Amino acid sequence: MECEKVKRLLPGYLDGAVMTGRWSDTHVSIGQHLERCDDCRDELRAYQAMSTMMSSLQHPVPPADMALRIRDAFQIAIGCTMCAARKLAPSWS
Amino acid sequence: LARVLRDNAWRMQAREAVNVSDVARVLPWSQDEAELVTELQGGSGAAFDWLVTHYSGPVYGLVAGMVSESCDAADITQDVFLKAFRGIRGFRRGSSLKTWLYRIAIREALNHRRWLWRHHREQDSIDLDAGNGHASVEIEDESSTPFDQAASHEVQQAVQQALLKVPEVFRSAVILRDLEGMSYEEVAEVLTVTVGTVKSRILRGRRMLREILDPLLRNPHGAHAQAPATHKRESVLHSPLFSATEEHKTSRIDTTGWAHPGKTGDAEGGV
Repeated sequence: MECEKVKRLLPGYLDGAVMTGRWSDTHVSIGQHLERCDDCRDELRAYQAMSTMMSSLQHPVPPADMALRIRDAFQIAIGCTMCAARKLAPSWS
Repeated sequence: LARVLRDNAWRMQAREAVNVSDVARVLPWSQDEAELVTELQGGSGAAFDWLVTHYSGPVYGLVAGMVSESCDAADITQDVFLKAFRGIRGFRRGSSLKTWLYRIAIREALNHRRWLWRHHREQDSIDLDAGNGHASVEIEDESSTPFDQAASHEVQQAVQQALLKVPEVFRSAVILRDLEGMSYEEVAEVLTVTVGTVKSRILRGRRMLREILDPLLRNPHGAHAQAPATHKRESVLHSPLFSATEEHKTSRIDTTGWAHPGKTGDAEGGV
């Protein structure tokens, strides 16, 4: 397999995206190529480093009042629904 | 009437609870999502409270990865839950609530981006600088030096900014897979595309991200030295393949058993 194709598939080789079904041969071929190609191994290391960086990302923390805001909006939405229902209801007076 | 009484009983218990996590603890749906859906579809406020308590954080995190402004992420998260409340009757049994919420969240984030883009064309005064980061959990790692912490923060910012440069169609797939840890099948369900398309998007997204981050990856102080001791996310790529950091130092790599076989589907599409 050529370096160009291996490099294109490397991001999928990492987590097994190209190892199942009809890709199983491809996965083996990539592994064999990596054993003899320094350049592609370097590329794989770059993806490994990127994965390490990704895993270091902190999960964004919502504002402290996030849940409260949603509940308030929910209450308003319920109120609006009821108001709309009242407006649609026939007036008997 | 039974539902109202039960709702009131849960609310009484919730009122006695000290904080939000305590509230969530006294509610009974953590094990049975089908029952939770039934309550939500019946209009239970307590069930909606539970949903907000458990999913507002994850949904916010997902949205924050898709948009650059934290205040926008909060507004979008609020809209996501209102849409969920209004659309819960259309929720299909057998689906996962999380997947369903994430689908709404991705759609809302994309809609917001489109609105912002149109609005930006009309009003040049809107500042779209991506530098306005989101608050993040800062757990002090006592074993790391101030230099390590500063460098780690820099890397995180660089990765977040790089993610925002990846076109959203690829970014959403990468975020769901690599940051949210979803399987390819789950990502496909959220994005309503085939598993093959998901794989294609993820591979392209990772390649773009790798190109954008290339300067940082080439800098030994920016990449390999930046594996912080406190990882908040469990990357799906952080399999035994990646945890073997010692392998980085060797010139020859043993590729036996490298690929992560779990959480993948059959590749049916082109990658």
